[in-house]
Amino acid sequence: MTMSAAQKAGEMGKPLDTLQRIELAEGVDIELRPAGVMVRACAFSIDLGIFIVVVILMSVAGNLMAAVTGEGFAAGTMSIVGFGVYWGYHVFYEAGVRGATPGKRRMGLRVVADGGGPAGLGAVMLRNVVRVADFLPWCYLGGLLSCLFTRRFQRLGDLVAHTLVVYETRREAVVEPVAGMPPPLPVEPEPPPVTLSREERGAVVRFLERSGMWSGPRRREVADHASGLTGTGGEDGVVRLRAMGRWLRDS
Amino acid sequence: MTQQAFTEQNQKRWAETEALAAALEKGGKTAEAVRLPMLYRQLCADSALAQHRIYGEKLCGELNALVIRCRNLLAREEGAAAWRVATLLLRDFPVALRREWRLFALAMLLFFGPMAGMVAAAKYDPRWIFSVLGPEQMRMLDGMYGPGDEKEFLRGEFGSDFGMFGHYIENNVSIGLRMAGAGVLAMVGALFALAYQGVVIGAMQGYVHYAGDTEKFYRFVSGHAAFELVGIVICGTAGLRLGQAVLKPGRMSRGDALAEAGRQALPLIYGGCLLVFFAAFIEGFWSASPGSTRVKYAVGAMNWLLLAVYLCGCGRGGKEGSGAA
Repeated sequence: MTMSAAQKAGEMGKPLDTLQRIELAEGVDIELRPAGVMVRACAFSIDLGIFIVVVILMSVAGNLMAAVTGEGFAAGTMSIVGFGVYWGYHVFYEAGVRGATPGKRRMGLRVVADGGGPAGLGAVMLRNVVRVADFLPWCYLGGLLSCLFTRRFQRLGDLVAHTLVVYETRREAVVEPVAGMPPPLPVEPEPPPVTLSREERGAVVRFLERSGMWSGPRRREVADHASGLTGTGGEDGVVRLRAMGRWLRDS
Repeated sequence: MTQQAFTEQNQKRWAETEALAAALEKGGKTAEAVRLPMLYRQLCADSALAQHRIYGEKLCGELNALVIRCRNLLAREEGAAAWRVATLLLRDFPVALRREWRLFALAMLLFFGPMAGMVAAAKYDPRWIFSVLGPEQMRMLDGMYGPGDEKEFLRGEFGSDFGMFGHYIENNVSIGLRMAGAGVLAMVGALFALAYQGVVIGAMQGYVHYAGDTEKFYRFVSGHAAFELVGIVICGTAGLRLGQAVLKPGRMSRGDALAEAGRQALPLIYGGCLLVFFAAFIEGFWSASPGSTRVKYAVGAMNWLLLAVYLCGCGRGGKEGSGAA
């Protein structure tokens, strides 16, 4: 497996970002973006809400059933259904095609094996059995600590099952200009004065694409870091850097 | 080639791939599905090209997402559920248990040790039992195994055979799963839970020895005891196996050791839970049924024997280690 710049930087103790680059057997790299604690907590809250609604519905259904079939049968059925929902809710959805509970789906998350493929029933089972340990000592404190101290935000269950929770689509892919920010001036393509490495070319193109998301001063501040390349600073630097970006991207 | 030309040349195919992926994700079965591998390979080539030529983040991001979607569809494990269950039961589970026989022995000791101690306490110092059981539990035990009809009492508690069955499944299988999960905390969770269950169950048994009708008790428990107790101990063993990876990862990193432990513990979790599940059937529908004590004891002994033969003998001579994970 080839190491991406991010991984190399990570091993030097300087992670650039959280992207996980994985090379597939097909010879292409895919990028996974592991989800952080906050968004996962939101997803869990949604699932908890659904769970509570289901429990309320079940108790109503149980009482109705008791009137028809008798107390014992209803109680037994409800025990079994409750057991199934409690242990099976996450397993059922995460092992399914979408690899996500309704809450995770709502937040755009997905459970994958750490190679990027679908997690499979066994792995999903494991990560949810170990949920008990992640919950301890109180309110997912164990899982929180585990997420904070692992590079790919894995709770204990994820470590045991070799799974990750990732964003289904890269949020970063959205690089449309943001309303309210002054649109950068249109520029003509212009070749960079020196030969750039792959990473450098990537950075210049990314600057071009993202510059519409920033305010003018922020753009200038970022472009000033490349003043060695543009030979100038301020708004001129922004224009020159964007021109090089267009040349690199469009030709 | 410019990004625009590249996009124009290929976007029709990408749209087709995406539409096909969306259809398959919905679970639809279309004859078009046979085209997915070819479209996927072309997509991979496009994605690699786009990344190499640094065609902008938006395009690369979209292709990346589509590659992942298609791959998930192609790599999905499907079908042969019956075969996988059979492999698990007939080979992987007993083999996995024999591989972890040391941990299993430790778990058995942790569970049956305190249990035997509490039963012995009935004879020598019943205060041990009183310190474990509350008055409510003693009342229940008096009701079940004191004078009177225990079946009627249980029915009163749970309503019917089926009610009992449901309760046992929920309660016992949950205990097993929690034990397995909590074991990952450096074994502590599983060690504690095993000993705790041993103490509580032993105290109940001891109380019956002290104050109740032991024949009634053993007639009730003999049928399911083997599967239930050993199933719980096996779940505990799975927990110990996970914790072992944290305590003693050997020559692997802790992360790798944990993942390896997960693979090896999984058949134990499945198998242990299935045994407890099976025990709940017996407990719900057979154990409280009328019948001569002799038959009940014979069935109980038979179950222990069957279980021992199954766990010791099943899956020998086959290929090991392909796992159900």
